[in-house]
Amino acid sequence: MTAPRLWMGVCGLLAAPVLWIASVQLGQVLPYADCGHAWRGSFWLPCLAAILAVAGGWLAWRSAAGRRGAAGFVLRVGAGLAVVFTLALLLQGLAGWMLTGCER
Amino acid sequence: MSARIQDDQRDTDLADAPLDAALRRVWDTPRGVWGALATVDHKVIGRRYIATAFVFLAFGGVLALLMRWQLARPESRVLTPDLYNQIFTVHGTSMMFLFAVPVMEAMAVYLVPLMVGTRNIAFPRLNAFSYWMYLVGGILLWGAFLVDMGPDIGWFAYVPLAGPQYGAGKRVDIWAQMITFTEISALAVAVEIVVTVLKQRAPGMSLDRIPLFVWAMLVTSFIIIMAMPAVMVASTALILDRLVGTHFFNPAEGGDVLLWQHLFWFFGHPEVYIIFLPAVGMISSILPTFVRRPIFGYLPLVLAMVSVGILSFGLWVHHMFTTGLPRLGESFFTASSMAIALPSGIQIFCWLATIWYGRPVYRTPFLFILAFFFTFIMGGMTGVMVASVPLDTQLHDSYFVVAHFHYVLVGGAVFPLLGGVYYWFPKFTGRMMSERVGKWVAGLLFAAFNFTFFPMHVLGLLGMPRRVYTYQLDMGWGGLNLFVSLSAVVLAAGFLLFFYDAVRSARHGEPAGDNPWGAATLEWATASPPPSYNFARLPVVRSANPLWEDDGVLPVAGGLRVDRRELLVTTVGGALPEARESSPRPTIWPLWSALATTALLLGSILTPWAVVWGAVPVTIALIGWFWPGGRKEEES
Repeated sequence: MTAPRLWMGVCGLLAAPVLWIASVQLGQVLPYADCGHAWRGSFWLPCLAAILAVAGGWLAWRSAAGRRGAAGFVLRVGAGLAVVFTLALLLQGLAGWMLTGCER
Repeated sequence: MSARIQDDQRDTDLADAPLDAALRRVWDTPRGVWGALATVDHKVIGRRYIATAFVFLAFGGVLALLMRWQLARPESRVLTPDLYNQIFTVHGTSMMFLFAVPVMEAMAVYLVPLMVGTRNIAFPRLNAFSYWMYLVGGILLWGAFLVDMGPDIGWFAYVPLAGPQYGAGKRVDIWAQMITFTEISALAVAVEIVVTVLKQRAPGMSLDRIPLFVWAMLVTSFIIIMAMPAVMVASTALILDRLVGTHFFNPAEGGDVLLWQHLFWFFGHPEVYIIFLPAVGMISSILPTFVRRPIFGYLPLVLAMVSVGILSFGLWVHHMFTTGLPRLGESFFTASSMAIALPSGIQIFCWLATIWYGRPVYRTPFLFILAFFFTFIMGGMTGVMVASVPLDTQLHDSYFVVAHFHYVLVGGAVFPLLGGVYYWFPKFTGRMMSERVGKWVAGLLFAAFNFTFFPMHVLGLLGMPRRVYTYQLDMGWGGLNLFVSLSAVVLAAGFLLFFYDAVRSARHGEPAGDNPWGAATLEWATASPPPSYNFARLPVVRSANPLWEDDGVLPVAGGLRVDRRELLVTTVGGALPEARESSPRPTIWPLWSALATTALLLGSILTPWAVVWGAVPVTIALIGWFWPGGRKEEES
């Protein structure tokens, strides 16, 4: 496996958790922006993050293919992380879909 | 062979007996008081940590009994309201900061170096320092309580109650500085464990062969490093508000009371997983031994631990659902709280599959794991319930929450910990604990725990609030409270029996031998209790269950010097040998440093100038600590 390919895999490993952390932080700010506007960033941004997390997980999974030992193990864990955090992001998106941001 | 060890002599030059003698000469802790105070042996410090933490557990338990005595009857006058406030604060603070976190780290201090096949923990002097700091923090809290100066603000010390306006006197400052002591200690141990796991593993122990307890402690240590600074910043800001007159938490001057809650719970919720994840690791390490098969789903279990570790940082606002934050923002935290059930479920199903495909042997450690399953799943399910904003709004600050977190913490951490003590006690002491008494302990604790805490769910649903020192007769809570209090006495009897068994077995238990359970991990590859140098020849690992492969005969690595304390540094991923590194010798400087830091921190409760003048002895102690010894530190 080439070094760039391995790094793509590592990026995939990190993408989902980083996107989720960003989404959690934005979730504290966006309700104020969403309230009274049609934009609904609290819905779209977690969904976009979920799509990117899936892409990251796919990269990690592809990079892990045929790779044994510690590197393959870490990349497979990364692909699994992407699944878990995609679910977490979709649940956040669901909240953004159901609520307007004005509720107190 | 000459009895005198020459310079640069290697272990490969020596037979077993001379090697043992040579290693004892450089690794043994000196006898006497100086040796006891100067030791940097991770096993000695680990045992001290564990024993001290269980002493604080017993103290906290006595306070719990006092609370239950007070609450057994309506309108009881056993305790005054002020003393009751101190008692529930010191109980919670002791259990969280002086027992639960330290005992898990203590188990790691003892076990991780053995499980990864190295001779001492990384930064052993820091390890000694961390123990002294922890001890002083505990003495500070309990000393204050015994002279009626115990904090009375709850283990979370919410402002403005804890601020200068409502928290007169020094009680809050004592709580805040106790936080500093224990968090410094916890952070130090976390750093040691991270470095030990990443750089000191036995050759061949690649990331996919690390024992699951070690994985759990690695994840836990990262959580500690990222979470604990938040509460240290918060408690320091609180001291500044109280002592110097800053206004971090004073809304009248532009501060924010919710800032305290955000900072505290940014630490406080990961704290739950700091306590729980080591228990996950213990179960994952103990279970294979008692079902006679390797763990089912090694990779999913590691994945679950890492996921839980990260997700734990996105849950803190579910402690703040009633503070008026935007409902949509709160729902993001409901989402994370629901999502964390997924990796937790993965763990449970991996363990169930391990049992399903194995041949269970019902010894005491396994019984504690079974007790864990029922209790923790109950706590987890009520956790999902209170993660829902509407339900939490109803149940917040009620006894339902008290029941929930005791199910999570006692079921999720204390039961596996007690199972771990029964499992590793032979390694700690060389003697077995009693199987007969152990079964009584497990049965008593499981039954009495559920009798004590299950009715609290009902009390919460009936509307009984937390932290009330009494209640009126016509509330109708008297019968259940009396039942809870009587069950608490039985629960205490179970713990008493456990302490009796531990003390008796340490002296008179049946001799254990190196590997009494027929376990698979490296700590069982050395004597019980292990010699000061842990392994005469460092093991080489070729699978995740090294003692179950190759008929238990481990290949070994050679080439380490025996005329000085030396251990092997390996690569992060594949654990390939990188360098030989010296390990520090015993020294009194960590104790002096801890005493100097104590003077600074205690003085700063009284005057901010203590930080300035106290820095002088701290600096002197640190200079003494780090003064170069003139030895070559590392050879590649």
